[in-house]
Amino acid sequence: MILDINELSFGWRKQPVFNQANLQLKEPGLYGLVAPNGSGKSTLLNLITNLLKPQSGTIKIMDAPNSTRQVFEQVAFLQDNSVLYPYLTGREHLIFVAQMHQLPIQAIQPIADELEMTDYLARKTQKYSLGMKQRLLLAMALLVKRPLMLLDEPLNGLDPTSLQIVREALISTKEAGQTALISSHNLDELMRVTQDVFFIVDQHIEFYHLDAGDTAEARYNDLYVKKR
Amino acid sequence: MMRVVRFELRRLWRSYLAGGLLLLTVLLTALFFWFAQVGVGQYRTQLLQDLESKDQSVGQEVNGLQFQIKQTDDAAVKKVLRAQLNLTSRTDDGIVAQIKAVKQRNSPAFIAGGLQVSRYGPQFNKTGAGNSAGWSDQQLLQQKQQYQTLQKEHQAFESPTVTMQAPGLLVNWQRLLASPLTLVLVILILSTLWVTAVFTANRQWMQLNVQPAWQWLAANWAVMSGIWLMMLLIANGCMFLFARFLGSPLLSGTISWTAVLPGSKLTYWQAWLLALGQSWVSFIGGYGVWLGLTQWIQRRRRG
Repeated sequence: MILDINELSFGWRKQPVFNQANLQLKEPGLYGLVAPNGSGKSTLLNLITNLLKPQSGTIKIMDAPNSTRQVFEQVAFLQDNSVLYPYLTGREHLIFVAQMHQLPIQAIQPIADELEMTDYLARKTQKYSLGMKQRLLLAMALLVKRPLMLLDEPLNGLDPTSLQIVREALISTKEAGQTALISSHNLDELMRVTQDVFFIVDQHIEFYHLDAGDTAEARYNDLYVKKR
Repeated sequence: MMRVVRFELRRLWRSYLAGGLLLLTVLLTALFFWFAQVGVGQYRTQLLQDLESKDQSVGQEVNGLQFQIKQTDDAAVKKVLRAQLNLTSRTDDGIVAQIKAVKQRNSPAFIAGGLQVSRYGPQFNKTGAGNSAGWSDQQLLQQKQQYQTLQKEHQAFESPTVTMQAPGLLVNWQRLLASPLTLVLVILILSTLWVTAVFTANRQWMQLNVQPAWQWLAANWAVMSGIWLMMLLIANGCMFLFARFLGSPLLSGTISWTAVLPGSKLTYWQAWLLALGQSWVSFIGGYGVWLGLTQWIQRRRRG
């Protein structure tokens, strides 16, 4: 099992976010994670990576508890761009990630080329646009080549060209046998890379395989809009 | 571990904190030197005023004795008064020599005058007139011992608390850098890099990429301990250069690193080394406690 979330409960003070939620990823591939704002998408990814502790339930990655060591060895996490040091360059971020994961520095260049970010790698991230930051975050996640990738809103703020580049990069990871759980609000774009989507509904996680003719947007409307 | 240390050094450099710290070190050193310069000038003025005040008191005593000698016909009384006049005049001569030495900036002459005062002062005190000069036998004895040592070792007379001579100035500067209040401020300033990362999203990124996680804290601790040592050496180096090229003695002459620091059994060199070591070791301990505390607070907030 790549990822096994069992009976997960978590809440912020008086506001429950998950109530005995379950999620299983058995097969490698790309998976979407969809929910309205504030429903717990980022919280779920933070719980998987042990940045937050569940109140109850278990989370296993590659059949082992999600200890910090296990997360370090098995997971690549594309976080919110606020994790970037504004006074460091993109290259300095990538070099640090490569060094900490015992990777050769030469591994950076092919990824930078693939994401078309070589031109601005030497600039400080405080001068990056939102799209440039997203590409750097994706580059860091791709660099470490972990079996499980968690991507928190990787499509945010991307122009059409960048979207195409990121889409191709995601499809390459699938072909390489990796698994990615991608949270996004861009449902159309998400549908272009996967038909397997998890929705967070009423503090539970529901899985849907969207067949031809079924769209993430329609499912979203069924689950959230019509309920209101 | 060394990779995290290098990363912390890079953060220090790139965030301009390193440049800021260097600038701060030089500026504060210059400021302390300026205070010392002003302090030495004030001490010289104060010294002169004290001596002139003593000269006035003792001079009045001399005039009084001369008047009494003229007034009395009793030969025995006259003899006693003349002996007192002799002692009082010699004491006053010493004070006058010291005043002249201060004005001429002549340390050996000042010490010689001071020794003369120390020699005749206690006998002058016995006459009952010594109180007017405002010194005690104990003070005169201490002065005698101090001045004899200075004379024997060919050292200059300097204020024990404020000086621009390199050994004394560096000891005073280093003692300030070892004081608890200074260290608290330094710890707060140097922990900027740590605090601004550990209480923001940067911490998550570090947690995901540094394994074992304690390496980040240890690396920051090691880097900042090294930085504080460097700052201490730069601060002392700058102060030495200021003293060497801009400093002037209180009167004249120099003091040696191997001379005994007034009021202690240590030489200037030993006292400086001791203060340097105290400052560094105290910083290492205090900074470690602060890192642990901030991490604990951060975990409590997260929990």
